[in-house]
Amino acid sequence: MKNNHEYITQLKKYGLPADVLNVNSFPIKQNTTQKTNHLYSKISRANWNNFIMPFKKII
Amino acid sequence: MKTTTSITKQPEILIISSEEDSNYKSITEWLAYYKADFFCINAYSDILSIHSYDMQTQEMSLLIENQNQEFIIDINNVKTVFIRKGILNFKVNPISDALLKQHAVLDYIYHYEKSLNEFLEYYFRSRCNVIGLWGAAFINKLIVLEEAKKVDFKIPETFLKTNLNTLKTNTSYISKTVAIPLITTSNHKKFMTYTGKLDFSLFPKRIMTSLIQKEIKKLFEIRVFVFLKKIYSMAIFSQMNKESVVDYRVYNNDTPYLEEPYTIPNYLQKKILKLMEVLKLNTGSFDFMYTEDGEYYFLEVNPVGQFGHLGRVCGVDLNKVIAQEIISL
Repeated sequence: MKNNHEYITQLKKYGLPADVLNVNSFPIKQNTTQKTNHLYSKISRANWNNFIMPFKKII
Repeated sequence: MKTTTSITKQPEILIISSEEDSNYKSITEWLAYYKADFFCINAYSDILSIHSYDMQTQEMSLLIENQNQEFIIDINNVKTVFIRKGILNFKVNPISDALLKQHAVLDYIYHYEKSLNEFLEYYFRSRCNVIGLWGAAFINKLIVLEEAKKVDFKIPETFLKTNLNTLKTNTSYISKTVAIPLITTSNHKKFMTYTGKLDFSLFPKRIMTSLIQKEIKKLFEIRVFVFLKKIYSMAIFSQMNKESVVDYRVYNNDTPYLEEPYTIPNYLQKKILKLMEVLKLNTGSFDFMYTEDGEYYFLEVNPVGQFGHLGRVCGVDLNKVIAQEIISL
């Protein structure tokens, strides 16, 4: 099975439970975590690259 | 080389986890930082035997063996047992293949291990705090949904069907796994199943019993992690990506969706704790969705969900919180 289409074609004939056909696939070599530009969404507060240290005293 | 002498320990805290679990190491590092008296049983590599037990005095010791060492754990001082992930492996001495092929021998070993495992759970539960689900941490999704309804959670309309033609054609449905996702591999790819929209055209007239839910239009999903009475949650704006609209685990690494700390209302917290009481859980990761109508829908609970990412989004080191909670019991 090379892709999702082949997977679905092969497995749909067995009449397995419906969820078996909701498939997503990954290349085997990329089984480990993929490299991303950002750990979180660019606009997330959890993205510390966007954090600006306050330089004025807040009264 | 295995050493011949056993090391004896009398810990106050027993941690059971597989070394494959990413949180295991961090939790134990925090326990060490707080100078807690703990011992870890690595479900991945340690082999266990009940070394000695006296039913009259209730005194017990365990023999833990791995490739390098063996330990005798006197568990009379144990106050807390935390089962993070994994199952205990009881020692079974190697026997010949001919014997192993006999069903009666396999049955004997299966029931031998099962009885010891059940007894150990019973023993710990009757005399100390046990956190986490014993065994494979498997929880029945269908029973969970029924119980969630009883504690007044809203749940999506749910069906079990072998004939999809009995569903309304003008309504959108999703199909979920009854138990665990199916993971298969071919020479080229690894295939994994997710929650997804139901495409009626793909199925023959009769299929195996399938779990179907009516699709609900959501604004965002909420992941809630509970450890004893502490509750942390984040909102997952999975609608931002086409791929993750139905299931947020279908992740796009190039355009990650937004995740933000979130405070769930008090009434929802109370219902979560009530459901945990019914299901006999003291830790778990809950999935909810927040709909366009401003309603919270309960989706499912995972007794051994990953919580590290949720902690990072919320700005809390949950491994530290867990270590502190375990020590304070």
